[in-house]
Amino acid sequence: MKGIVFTEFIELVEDKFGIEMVDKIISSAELPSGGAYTAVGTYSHSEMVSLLTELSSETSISIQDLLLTYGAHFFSVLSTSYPAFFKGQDDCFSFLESIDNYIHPEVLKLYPDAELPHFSAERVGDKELSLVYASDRALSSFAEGLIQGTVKYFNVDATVEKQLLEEDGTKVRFVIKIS
Amino acid sequence: MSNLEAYKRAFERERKARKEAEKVLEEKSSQLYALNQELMSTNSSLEFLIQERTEELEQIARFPEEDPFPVFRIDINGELVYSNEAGKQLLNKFEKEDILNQFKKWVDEGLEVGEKKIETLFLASTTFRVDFIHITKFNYINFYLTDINEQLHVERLLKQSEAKYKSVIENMRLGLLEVDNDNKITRAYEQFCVLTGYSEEELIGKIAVDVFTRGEFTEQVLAQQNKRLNGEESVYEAQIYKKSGEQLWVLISGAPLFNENGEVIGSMGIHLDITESKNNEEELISSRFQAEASAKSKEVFLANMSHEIRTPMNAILGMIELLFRSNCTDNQLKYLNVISKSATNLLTIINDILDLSKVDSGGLSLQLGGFRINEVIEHVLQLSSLKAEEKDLLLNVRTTENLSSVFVGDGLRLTQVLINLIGNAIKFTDRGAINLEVQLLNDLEDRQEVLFKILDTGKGISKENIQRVFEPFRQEDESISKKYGGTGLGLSITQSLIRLMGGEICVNSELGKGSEFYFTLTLTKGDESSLPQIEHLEIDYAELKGLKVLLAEDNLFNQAVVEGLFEEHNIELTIVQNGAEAVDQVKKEEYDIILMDVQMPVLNGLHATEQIRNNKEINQPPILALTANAFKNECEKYLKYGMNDYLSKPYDPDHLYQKMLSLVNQKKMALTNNISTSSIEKNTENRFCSLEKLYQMSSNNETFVLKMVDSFLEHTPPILSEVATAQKEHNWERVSELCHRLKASYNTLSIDVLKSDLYSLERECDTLSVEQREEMVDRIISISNKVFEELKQEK
Repeated sequence: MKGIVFTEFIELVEDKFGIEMVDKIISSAELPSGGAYTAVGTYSHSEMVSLLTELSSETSISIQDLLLTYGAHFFSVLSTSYPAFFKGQDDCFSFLESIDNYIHPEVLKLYPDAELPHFSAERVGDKELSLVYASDRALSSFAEGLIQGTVKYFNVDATVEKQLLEEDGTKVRFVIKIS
Repeated sequence: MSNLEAYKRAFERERKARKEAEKVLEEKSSQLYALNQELMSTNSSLEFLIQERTEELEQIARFPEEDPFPVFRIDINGELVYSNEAGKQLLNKFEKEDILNQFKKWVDEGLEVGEKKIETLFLASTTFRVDFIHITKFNYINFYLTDINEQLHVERLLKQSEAKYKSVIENMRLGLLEVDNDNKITRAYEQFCVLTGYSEEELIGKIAVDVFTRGEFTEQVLAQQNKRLNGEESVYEAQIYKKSGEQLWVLISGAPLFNENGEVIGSMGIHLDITESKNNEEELISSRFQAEASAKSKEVFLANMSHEIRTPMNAILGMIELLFRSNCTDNQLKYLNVISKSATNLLTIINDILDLSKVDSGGLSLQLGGFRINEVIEHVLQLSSLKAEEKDLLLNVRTTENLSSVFVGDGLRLTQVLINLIGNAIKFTDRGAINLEVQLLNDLEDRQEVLFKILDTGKGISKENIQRVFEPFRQEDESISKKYGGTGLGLSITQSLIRLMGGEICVNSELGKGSEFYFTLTLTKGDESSLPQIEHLEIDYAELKGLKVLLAEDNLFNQAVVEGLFEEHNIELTIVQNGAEAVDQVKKEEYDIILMDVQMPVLNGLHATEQIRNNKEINQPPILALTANAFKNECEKYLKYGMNDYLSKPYDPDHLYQKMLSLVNQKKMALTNNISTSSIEKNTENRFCSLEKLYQMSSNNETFVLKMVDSFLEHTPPILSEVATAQKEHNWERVSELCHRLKASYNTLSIDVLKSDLYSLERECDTLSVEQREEMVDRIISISNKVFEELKQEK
């Protein structure tokens, strides 16, 4: 998992719960990296799971909720840091469609070792988009947060509906409907 | 507190993270570098590909559609891909398949990509040169055909003419040999084989120098062969060996051989046998050496003979002189006269022989000076009259008027010629008269053409013999020498002398009707001033009295002569036997003068003189060389050894006295001069110059003397100031020249104190140290200034 996911997560925790919380969850998670993350590094996915587990038990907020919140936040980080991906994009659906066929290929050029989820998009009429998430990491809530961030970014009034396609959460369909 | 700890840990994490980030960046940058390298190599291989493609495209583009010669392109399977117009015509004209099969065959024999090959294709009467090339990657082969019929024809003609020219050379008995660049024989032509005795088969493949040359000639030939590599031709001589071991001298004319690309592939040598002319040349050189050696030994022999004969002659003449002075009876006097005349004759013969040797060695030379023609004639008559009287012959002289009274030339040699001719006339005339005629033929501004003619009424010369009378060692016939005596040298020497003076002797004669010898000389007119200083042999015998003289002489007779002479004048004489004794003797005692024989045992006169002159403890007496050597060149050498003058034996006693006194007086004057210049300055009576000679010359003509003095005062100071300048500039050559110019006038004015300085500076400047030279120049200038004063006062 790319370092930026960790560094942004730690920053968000510090922002929302204070540095003591960061210190606490890192100390108790007993991470191989010791919690020292850099955006350009690559770290084990299990460290993220450990950190989420610790934060959830400390704050009594479910992991799914935490991921949802973090996903929305992460989108705002990406939209600020990588404006190139948003250039000429004025439509929410076409942006979501471009994840698999434009954004992710571009990311792989920079980080050939990055493990990215698949988002296969399918238009269902003018106002509806079906986006199927597929990843061994089963972080669909994080994806949901990102999608919500996107909707908010393009300033559209839409609902995001989530359907598990696999029970372990490795494959999930999101239906985005513009009202 | 716990908050602080949390921050500390956060900080620690940040730092660790930063370091990791840096590591990642480093890795990325090295990856980037590697990628860059890869990119570059990809780029260059791309460029190469592009170039290759471009070349191929160019070749395709250059495909010569308009070319008059056929061009074909076939693919790797032998299928025709393309042909130009000329190619199409060729394929129509001949069997297409045959041509293409031939092409395919050549390709199958192996043709690398990009490789070029050349083959020859014969089609009916036409020959083509086929250049073909495998065009890269496209896998086809281009064939370019060139009609070389014309070229072959020219080559054939060339070969024919070459063969013709080689056969011409062969016929001229010139041996041709061809070698490659390693000097290996590639071709030996017939005549060369004849010359060396080898067959061509024996020579092919052999190294030429191994077979033919040895030592220095091997090196020479190889050096010459090296020139061929640069395309140079050259001609040289060398010695080579035949198969038989015999040696040959050959003149080799070598030229490089080229292939069709103009590269040197070897050389061709044309060999001419010059053994015979070489041998002749060597013989010539060796015989020339022999001739030179024998001429040299003849010269040495004559010089020795001259000494050997003159020494006893000196003794004989000296003794005769003494006997004449003793109280003799009339009979004894008569005998003495005979002895004296015979001895004088003998001396004449010896002089003739010496003269002849000088003619042979080219050493005969004229001593130019002024002479009075009347004195010459008078002298000749004086010397000849006695003989004429003896035979009751008349001796007449006729001279034309308007002859210049003084001429510049060699008066002595002229006298000798006339005496010879008159003597000859007397010899061969028994009755009648001898006439000497001297006629002015042509009076020019500064010269006169004068005819000398000697007529006799003698037996004459036969026609057969008239051409031979001037040949040396030859008399008209054998009987002549029996009847008349003589060496047969007289006329030959006379002829040589006349030629030397610029004339030619002729003879008119008829047997029984007398002879007429005549010659014409063009003589330069002279005047009183050109006459030599008159030798005044008025000797003050009183001055001789008491002189202390040392004689170094090994010959007892010569000793006796000097002893006898000196006794008469009360001269104190010490005699030593050789040079070594002379050196010892002058160390023990002081002498006024040394008389030194030159050729002596133990230590010769020259080396003795040298030793004496180099010994500072000896008071340096003048040394007079007494020599039997009559060669003037030799005598000049004596002065270099430190002798002051020389006298040839046999000598006239008065000559000896005169020379002795002159040397002794010079020494005295030089001494006074050296001891104290101030004393000379005061001593006005001890003068530096004398006008005596001038008065003598002009027969006491005062106007003439004054004119000469004026001229001297006018011309001399500028020369002296030049001398001073030359001395400052150390231009000693110039100083010598100037001293030479001064010498004559100083001699005329008898400025004897400077005689030796002038002589030394003129003749032997390079043997003197700079100090010595400067001392001499200073003395010349200071004394000259005193002379000027003296002369001004005189006026």
